[in-house]
Amino acid sequence: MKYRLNALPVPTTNHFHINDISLEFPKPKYHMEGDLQIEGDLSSIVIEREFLGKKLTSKMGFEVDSYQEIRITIPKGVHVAKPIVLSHHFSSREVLFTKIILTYLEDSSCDFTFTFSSDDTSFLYLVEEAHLGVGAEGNVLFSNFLGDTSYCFYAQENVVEEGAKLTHTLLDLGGSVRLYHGFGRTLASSMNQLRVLYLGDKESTLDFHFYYQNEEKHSTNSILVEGALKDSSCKNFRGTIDFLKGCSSSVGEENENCILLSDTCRSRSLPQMLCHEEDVVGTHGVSSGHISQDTLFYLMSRGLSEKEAYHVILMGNFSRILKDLPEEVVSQVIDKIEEMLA
Amino acid sequence: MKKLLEIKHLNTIAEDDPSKQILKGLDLVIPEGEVHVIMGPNGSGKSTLANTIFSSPRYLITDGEIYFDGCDITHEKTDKIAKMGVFMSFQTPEEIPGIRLAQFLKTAKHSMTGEKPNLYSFTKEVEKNMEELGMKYEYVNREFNVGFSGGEKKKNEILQMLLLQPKLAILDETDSGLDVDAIRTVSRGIELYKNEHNSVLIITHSTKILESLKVDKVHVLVDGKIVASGDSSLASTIEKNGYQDYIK
Amino acid sequence: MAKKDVFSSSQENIYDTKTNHPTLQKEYGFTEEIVKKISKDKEEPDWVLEIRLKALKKFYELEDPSWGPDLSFFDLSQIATYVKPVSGEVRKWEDVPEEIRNVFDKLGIPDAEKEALAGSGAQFDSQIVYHNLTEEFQKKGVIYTSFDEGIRKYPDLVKKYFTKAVPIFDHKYIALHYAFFSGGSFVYIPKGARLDRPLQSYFRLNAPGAGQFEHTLIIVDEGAELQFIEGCSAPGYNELNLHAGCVELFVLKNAYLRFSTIENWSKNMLNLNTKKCFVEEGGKIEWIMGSFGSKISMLYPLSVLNGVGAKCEFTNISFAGAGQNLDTGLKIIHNAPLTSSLVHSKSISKDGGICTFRSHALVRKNAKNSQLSLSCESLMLDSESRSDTIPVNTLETENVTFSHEAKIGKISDQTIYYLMTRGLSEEEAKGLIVRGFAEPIAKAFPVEYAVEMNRLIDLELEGSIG
Repeated sequence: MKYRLNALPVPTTNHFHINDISLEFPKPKYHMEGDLQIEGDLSSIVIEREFLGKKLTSKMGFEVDSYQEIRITIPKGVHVAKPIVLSHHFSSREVLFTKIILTYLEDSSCDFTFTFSSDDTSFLYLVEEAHLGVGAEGNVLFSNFLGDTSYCFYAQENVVEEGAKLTHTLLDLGGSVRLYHGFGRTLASSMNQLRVLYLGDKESTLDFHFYYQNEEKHSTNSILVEGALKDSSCKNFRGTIDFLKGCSSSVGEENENCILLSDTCRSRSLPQMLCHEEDVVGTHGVSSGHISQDTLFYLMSRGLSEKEAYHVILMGNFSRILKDLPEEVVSQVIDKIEEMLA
Repeated sequence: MKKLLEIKHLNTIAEDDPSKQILKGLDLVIPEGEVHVIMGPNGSGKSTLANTIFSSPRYLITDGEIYFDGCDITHEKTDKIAKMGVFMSFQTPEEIPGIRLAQFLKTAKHSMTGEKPNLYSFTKEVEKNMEELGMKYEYVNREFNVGFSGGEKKKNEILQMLLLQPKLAILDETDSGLDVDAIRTVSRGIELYKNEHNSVLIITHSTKILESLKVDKVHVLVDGKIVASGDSSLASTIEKNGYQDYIK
Repeated sequence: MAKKDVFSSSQENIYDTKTNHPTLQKEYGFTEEIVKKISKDKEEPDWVLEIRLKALKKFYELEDPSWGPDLSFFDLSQIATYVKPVSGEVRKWEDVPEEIRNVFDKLGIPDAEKEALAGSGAQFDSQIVYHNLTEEFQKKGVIYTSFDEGIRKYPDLVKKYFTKAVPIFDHKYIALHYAFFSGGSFVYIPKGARLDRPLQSYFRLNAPGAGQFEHTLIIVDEGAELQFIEGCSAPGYNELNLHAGCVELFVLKNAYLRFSTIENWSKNMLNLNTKKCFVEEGGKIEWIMGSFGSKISMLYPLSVLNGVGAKCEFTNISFAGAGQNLDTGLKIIHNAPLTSSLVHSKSISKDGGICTFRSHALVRKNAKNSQLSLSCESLMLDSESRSDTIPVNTLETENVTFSHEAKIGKISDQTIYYLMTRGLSEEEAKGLIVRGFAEPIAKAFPVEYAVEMNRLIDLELEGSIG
């Protein structure tokens, strides 16, 4: 089947090859089995699960016919101390279509960790909807440790209400086709953050599409992407901050840094800012390219090999994402990165 | 003696935090020809007072009146107040990229006097004053305050005071963060400016700048009110004992 | 180009000068017949007519762009494709018909030529009416003529480069251009020749409801240097006017070209312009653009850095007021090692005006050790306006230093307050800040043009600000 996914809502000229991503792959079949494991202190939250034989769609544009839905509600004022972990290790050629709906009621807080791994080919399509009520706080960490020939599709959509704070962190470290879609609606005085770390290798295709709206006054959107490409990997990044009319005194920032580690990889980026309101501060910065020769030389004069020096600098960039993550996740990520870079 | 500035029972709150009352019934009179000093601990409302006189959008007046030269300026617009003859030297002067100092000075002079300054005599005047203040004349071609050091920015404020010749000059912490030489230059600037018809209000928390100036009155501002006034000896007392006697 | 004293002495908007010309011959329609008539009028060789006919065919096959400003409201059949003034092309201002000369006099063009230019040309509607180059440079072998004359007099040179930068089929409006092109300038700077003063072509579209399709072709040969200035303006009418010009630039080995444009089309103009430049080894192109006019603009000059060490500098300011949609930007292709590009773009939008910055920077695999630095800043003067930044960056090689920064914001209240304490009204304060914002771009223009730019900013600011 041929697919055109992650399309820009307002296209630019086709010559730029960034309006969407064209992919061709056989339609995956989900057998309504295979289950996410849920761990953590579940005593104060409400979880419902069901298999549904209906369409699962998302703003990514990918559509399937059946899926499992997991609805999690964090009741008003409840604070869950430790992250709830949803994880799955795929068996060979396993397909998983899941929708997770996170509902944070007023003044609640809870962190989630979604972790996916496999040894070879697998197919994940995860759709997440997060709704943060007034004053709620949530961190959602998504880790992709899938095998080399896997497909990883993750589409999240969120609404962050007044005074609430949401942070999504994506760690993208596996698979041959990796698609991400994020749509954020940031309401009055709320904060919506997105942190992405990726490392593309082999022939992998990475496509990131994020659209965050500052909808009301004093809202903050912040997108930070740190990544590197090696071998013949290709990456597209579309990040949009949209200041809607009426969102005065809002802030939107977007930073994307990509280091190219080979001569056959390709990086495309479109950091868009759309602005309908005068009283806002919008900034974006994009930098790409190679590592400064001076820095390399300095590190090498301290005894590091060129490769080690590269890794040090790379990890320096990645630490901007990793610094806020739990220690056990960080060590797992570093192990995986070192394995990929070896 | 003619009252140049008169403030009656002034109450203000912060624009972004209406629950925060800063000035609480402040009274102050500055007669023509005098040099007054307001001292007070951090957070007492010194800068708020200066900015409120100038109708800064950051502060709202909830009660009281301000008169300048007999006119009610309590709710007057900032530029009108400037045109009436009030000047303020800012604690942190703005940087304005792309605008050269010379261009700025000409524009300011023009709008203050309502007529285009004579290019030749104005240039001479700028040159003379910059020399007095130890500023390099080449600075007129630099972008306004962009890349200026803290001291240079403050000197630039004094330069504007000298060129615009206001009736009342309010110097908001002009001496803070400056070394002894720079403070001396600022004092020199005030001397140059001062005559029997104009007045100066110096807001400071140190007495260094007062050493070489003839001060008529010193006021102590604590918690939004003037709690004591006296002659220049009051400054020396505070220098020695601090504000503890005035803090309840 | 207008000089300072022109501005200070006159209160009227000099750009809005209209003329009555009952003797005008206007041609409507997009038919083979008209294409053939234009070609015949110009006594063109067959190969040019062939290009025109091929382009016309392509025009009917191509669609409006699927992105950017909506052009669907635009009825092409209302546009006169060819407006022939009664006069021919002359070398002395005295010989230009009085009515037309008056327009250029008001714009200050003849004065500017006397004082600061190496040569100048003037186009009125579809036709070049004046072209002159100082003798000094004629002797050096510099060619500066109308494009029509270029085809007649230098067919080999024109044939070698014409349509080679901008292909006929690039997009719908370039096909339209190639079918109906008329006027424009042809410039050739021989090897090693350096012009110490700029050349200037001024394009004036005075006829209501007309299209202007001028073609400018500039070749700067090895080691040569040229500054070229292009000015455009038109009086305001209710009918839509269309400008679909084309600029092809060739900067050969170690050559240098600065191409400056001050565009002040009237607010009834659709400005769908195409510009491209090829830069060879060690060459450098500098683009300087000020976009103030037009109802809709779509303009993205492309620079192709084809030789080792080729350079591009791009400086742009757009100012969109009520009813204006300025969709501008650039494209850069790094196609050789050690190439570099430096981009500064600024935009100001007010009273519901829309500014869009759209760009594509492409670094090809063979562009090792290249450098790119892009920055764009947008200033919004009110919440009715829009400002969008849509930059695409594609890197195909590792060994490149790339940075891109963008900022959107408004004028700080604190800065306005500060200026007001110095006696400026709020409006004056805003005006001063806007001029400061534009200053780095104005600086890139020769002094007379910087004055004109400030004048245009003042004109734009009138009404809402000061």
